[in-house]
Amino acid sequence: MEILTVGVVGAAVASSFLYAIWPLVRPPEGAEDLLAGANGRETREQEVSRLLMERDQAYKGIVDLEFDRQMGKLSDEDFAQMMASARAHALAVLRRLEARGVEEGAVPVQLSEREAGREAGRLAEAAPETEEEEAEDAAEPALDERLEEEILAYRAVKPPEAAPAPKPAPRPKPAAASPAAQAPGAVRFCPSCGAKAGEGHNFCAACGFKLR
Amino acid sequence: MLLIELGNYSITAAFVLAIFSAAASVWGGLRRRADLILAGRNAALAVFGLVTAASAALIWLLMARDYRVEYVASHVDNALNAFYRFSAFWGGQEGSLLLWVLLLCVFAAVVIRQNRTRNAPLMPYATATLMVTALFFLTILTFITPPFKTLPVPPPDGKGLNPLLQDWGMVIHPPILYLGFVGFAVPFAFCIGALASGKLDTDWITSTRRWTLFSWFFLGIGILLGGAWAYKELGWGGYWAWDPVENASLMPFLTGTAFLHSVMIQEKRGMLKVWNVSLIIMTYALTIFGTFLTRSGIISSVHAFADSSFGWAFLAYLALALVVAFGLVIWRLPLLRSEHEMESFFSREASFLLNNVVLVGMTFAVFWGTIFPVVSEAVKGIKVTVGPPFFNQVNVPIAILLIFLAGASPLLAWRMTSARQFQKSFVYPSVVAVGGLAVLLLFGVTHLYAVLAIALSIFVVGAIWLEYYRGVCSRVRHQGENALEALWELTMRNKRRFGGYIVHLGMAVLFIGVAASSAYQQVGEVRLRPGESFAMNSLRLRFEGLREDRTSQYNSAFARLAVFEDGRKIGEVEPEKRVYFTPPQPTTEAGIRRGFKNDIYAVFAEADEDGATFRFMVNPLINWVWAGGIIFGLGAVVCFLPERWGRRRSSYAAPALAE
Repeated sequence: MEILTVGVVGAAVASSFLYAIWPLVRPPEGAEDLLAGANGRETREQEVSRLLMERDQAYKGIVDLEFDRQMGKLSDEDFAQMMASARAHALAVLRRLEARGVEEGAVPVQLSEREAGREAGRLAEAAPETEEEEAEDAAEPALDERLEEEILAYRAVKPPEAAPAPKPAPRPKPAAASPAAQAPGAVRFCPSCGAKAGEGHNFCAACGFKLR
Repeated sequence: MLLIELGNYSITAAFVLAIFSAAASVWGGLRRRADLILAGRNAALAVFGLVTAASAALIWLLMARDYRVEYVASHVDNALNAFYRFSAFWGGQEGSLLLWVLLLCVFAAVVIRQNRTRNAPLMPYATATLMVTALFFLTILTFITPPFKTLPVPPPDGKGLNPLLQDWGMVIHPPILYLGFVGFAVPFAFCIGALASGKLDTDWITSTRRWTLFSWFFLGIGILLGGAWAYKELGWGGYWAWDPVENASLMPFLTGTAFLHSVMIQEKRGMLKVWNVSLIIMTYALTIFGTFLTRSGIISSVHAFADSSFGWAFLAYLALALVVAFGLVIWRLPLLRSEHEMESFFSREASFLLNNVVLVGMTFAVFWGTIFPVVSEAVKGIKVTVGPPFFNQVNVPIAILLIFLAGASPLLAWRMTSARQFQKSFVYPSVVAVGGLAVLLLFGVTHLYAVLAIALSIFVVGAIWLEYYRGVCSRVRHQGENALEALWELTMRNKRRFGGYIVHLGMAVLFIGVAASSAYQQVGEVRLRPGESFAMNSLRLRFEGLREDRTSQYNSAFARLAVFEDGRKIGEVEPEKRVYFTPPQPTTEAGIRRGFKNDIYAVFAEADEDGATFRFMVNPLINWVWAGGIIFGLGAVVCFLPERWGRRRSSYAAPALAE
């Protein structure tokens, strides 16, 4: 074998092996982070990023359900039942996000995985090392509001500047049975379960009943 | 010498590092040692680098016609142009196995890169699974068929590439099919990762959804390209012959299709977990089995381009993979319990389940027919080959049921569909289908299966039309968009669902083509002298004369034929017969006049002193098969697009709706 051949082949093989065993020789910094998830303990950043993705998934589920309903794919009872559990799930995710200091409006909805990671990183930098306890006392009505707002944002069709003339938001005809819907701004209650309903809500946050 | 040695040592080093990577990953995963996991990851990337180097070396040697290497000497020759010299990389045994590993390593590298911070619990095992797969092929390349084996005396010229493979379709068909075959290793690896780590939620499915789609898309396109090549190049006027190797590619496609559907049930309803892991394991096993069928020569086939005698290695690996994978499934059974029960037979879930049963049933029928020669030889001592009649008899009714499901499923709701909804959804498509049926009967189409298949395909089109119509109406009503905007937004906001519908539409069109062209193909064989004609129904073909030509690679003879319809000349076809110099082998290039209604297909069988023998075929609606394939591809691409692509951007910061 010529010397050149030996050199090139030797270098290729040797560098491959060296690259492979290098982490054993000198573990890189932050290598343990890799295990954080594996041990069931995520870093705060990983957790927030995952929760953000979960949040968007939950919103997508809710929007899909509404769409299925519009397409006539779901009966009223099925819809109410599935919506209630979808909303409960979304609220649970929001509660956990709030407990980790992610407030309403802090992070846009509909993130790609990379964006979710970046946002989580940004939040972690903004508020480093504030190890909060799981706060279960995030005010429910406020959380309801937030859910509705964010779902609206998720569903948002046209950015304001893209719409030339802001026509009145087309919406299914208000149900005659809910007088509250006719008085915008007035406090409304769900006719089905009696829970207080937020302004602009299409569905009862507590039971999923269709408000308009 | 440099490149040969580089190739040789790279493969050996890759073999060693693949072992190291798999071992370090598994050990690191079990002992929770980050350094080991990272070493396993790096080793996998190093394997990727080495295999890439080996592949580049082989391609270079082929391009440079370095006949010292046996592989080069037996797959290219001096006359072969650069395009085919490049494609000779996968034209033979060793090269195509190297391509397998190369693709696998590329995928592994991409997966590792995508999951640097994600899916930490299951990544070590997924990496190990991919590396074990690579290891298997590297073992063959290292010990059984080394691609860089040299010849003691280099010949002055090579043996050349099989002339049948010298066609652009054949150049891209194998790599595309391989993309599909190899790609399924990724969802499989994640499945094994999920099973091993016990993290059995839907993460492994959502993380690999696009990998599954990617592989499934390329497998489908690869199968269609193979069909298109056979139609053009093999001269028997068809595109599918239930050849063992065709079957080998169809089987993972069927189980992959089943998997794509059933994972939706797991994502939506938390059901069918055991079924899903089993399906992906089966799909992976079938891709390995498919490679084995092509490579082992155990079952004779038109694809016997590469024969060898290491079938035992494949079977051993296959057995090992199945035992380990299903062992893990059994171990994890308690974690794979269903979260819901099936509530109604008239639901999306139930129809998906039925579709799964049908697809797996079809896979089994194909599998049985494919291995029957081997089984019969083992049991009775005679090789009994089951031909297309068996496959058609079994699969055509199943396929018809499948078409019905492709239309019915989208109309059903999740959980349950009430009688009223059912009525509302099914009336229109059924009316359209019955109308289509009446028209078919009116035109004298009475072949039972063809009528059923076409009427049900019309049902599918009707059902999908209805879905689009409803969706568009709903958007127009609720969002105030115009119909076109609504159509675009509808598709882009529900890529998975509406992309899926486009795929169903493509399948319907494809099935119409398959039904018509197989039930109503007309064949005639005749010897003509120049000036004589042959008539088939309203068509007439007149033999005008012979013409000869010569290229650097082959001699060819063309027979010119004029085509008349109802006495009016509508065109010409020119079937060709080639005789290649190296290797000396004749091939037929069919003369095809393609059309919307039918193809006129002429094969030049042989010439004698004052005439020539031809085989003529009229293949009705055959181009619908290819059109359906293109629609299928488009739909798959829509499903594959990133979630947010093509939609108007919305952001939470702006107050979104005029509330």
